[in-house]
Amino acid sequence: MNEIAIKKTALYDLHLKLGAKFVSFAGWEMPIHYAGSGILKEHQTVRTDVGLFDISHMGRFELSGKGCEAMLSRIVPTPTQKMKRGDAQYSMLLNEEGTVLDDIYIYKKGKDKFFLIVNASNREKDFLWLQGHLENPAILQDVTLETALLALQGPKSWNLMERVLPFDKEEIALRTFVETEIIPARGNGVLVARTGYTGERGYEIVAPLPNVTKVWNALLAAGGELKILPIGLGARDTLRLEKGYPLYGHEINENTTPIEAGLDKFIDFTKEFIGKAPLILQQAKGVTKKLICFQLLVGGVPREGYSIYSGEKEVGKVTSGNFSPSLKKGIGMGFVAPRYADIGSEIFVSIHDRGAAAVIVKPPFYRKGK
Amino acid sequence: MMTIEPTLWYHKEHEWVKVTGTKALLGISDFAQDALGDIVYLELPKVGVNVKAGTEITEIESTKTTSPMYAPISGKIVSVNETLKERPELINKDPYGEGWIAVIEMADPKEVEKLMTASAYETFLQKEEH
Repeated sequence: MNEIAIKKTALYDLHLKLGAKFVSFAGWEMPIHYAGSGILKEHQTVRTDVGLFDISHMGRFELSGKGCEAMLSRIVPTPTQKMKRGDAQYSMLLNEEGTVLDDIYIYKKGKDKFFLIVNASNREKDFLWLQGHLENPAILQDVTLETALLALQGPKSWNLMERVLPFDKEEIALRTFVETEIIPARGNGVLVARTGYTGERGYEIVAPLPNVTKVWNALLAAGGELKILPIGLGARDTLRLEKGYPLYGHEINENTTPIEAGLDKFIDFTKEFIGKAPLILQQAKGVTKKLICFQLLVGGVPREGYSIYSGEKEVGKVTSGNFSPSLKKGIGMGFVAPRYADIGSEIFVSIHDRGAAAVIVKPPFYRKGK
Repeated sequence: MMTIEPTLWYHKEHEWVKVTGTKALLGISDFAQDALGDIVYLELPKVGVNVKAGTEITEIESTKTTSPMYAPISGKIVSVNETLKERPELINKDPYGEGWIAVIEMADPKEVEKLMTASAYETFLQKEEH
């Protein structure tokens, strides 16, 4: 691992100037939070105002070529065949055993033209997997290092986008994403998508590298009155956790199927896709583990790897856990045998050798106005 | 800027000690709170328990991580800062003041001399950063 050079995004020097504290994530040196704010304040800013993230570590692929629509539909389990130009879809790559190689986002730019966003840790693996299942004349290109990916998230993100997008706002309201530009960084050809990982209204913006600093600065400047803050990966994690969104390597991995992780609602069983047969079998037989969301009833912070108990019996492990800034309580996710997974059941999480009482809840942990 | 209170003693695990007679007031340094980030919870050490210098007395939870806190000095815990139950963020806001964590009745008041002075701690931090 040490031999691999640490990767930095195009905005690294800007983050340094903004006082970022860095963390190594999937081989990338990324801001965890910025000086003078901290994770709690950044979290709150995204819940009430608007925040700007650099998430350029995530992998980005272009897929094109005649017939690639049909090929993609046979690879992924979600109904990509129903996508229209301007649609975005949460999807997954499954292996033949039906377990999750990655969770991804698919954007349809046009007929036989797609843009994919994949997890940083899985970029090379996904590329090879897709490449191995595509046929001529489909072309897959990794454009991660030629572009940057920003996320603008929070209830005031639209007020901000109104100021920097050059066209009638109706257009982005109609579609999930558009190809456009950010004023005043003209001619930058960005892709603006109405997607995100925070549970708030928000946008993800793909910008070609030469313009990314301009785009970042234009967004921060336009958001000045809206109390915009740059946000690090720390708050990105607490924000997604409060919504019960899975994170690859924690809730989903190559030992877990989408059914076990509660992601079966995204799957289109009416079509053929890689990993379908074992999933149908699992649906018939039932799962042996199930993802739960739980909230502590006492003080404490659950963390990944902690044991989950039902009474005296160990029944599973925590996969993600932290302090919920909105609920002011410890929250987490984990896997247990289905008979222990009922909503409302009391469990115990072993935190530093004490059993902290918790209750299984239905996600999301956090809803607006609560 | 990181502050180091000049009148305190420091342990290598970033706890500070303020001695008054045979009592030692203790907390964590500004460097430690800054490294931890937003502190969201700590299980207060138990009053009446005897502790040995260098042993873990509790864990401090931040949004970033869980970090053990060590007894900088041996003795009996005679009081803890109950306010931190509701307001753990005081450790971030005022690590040398309102964010104090516990008071230890020292077993051997001379033991404090094994700790670092403020200037020694400053040198220690500089070395840690490089």
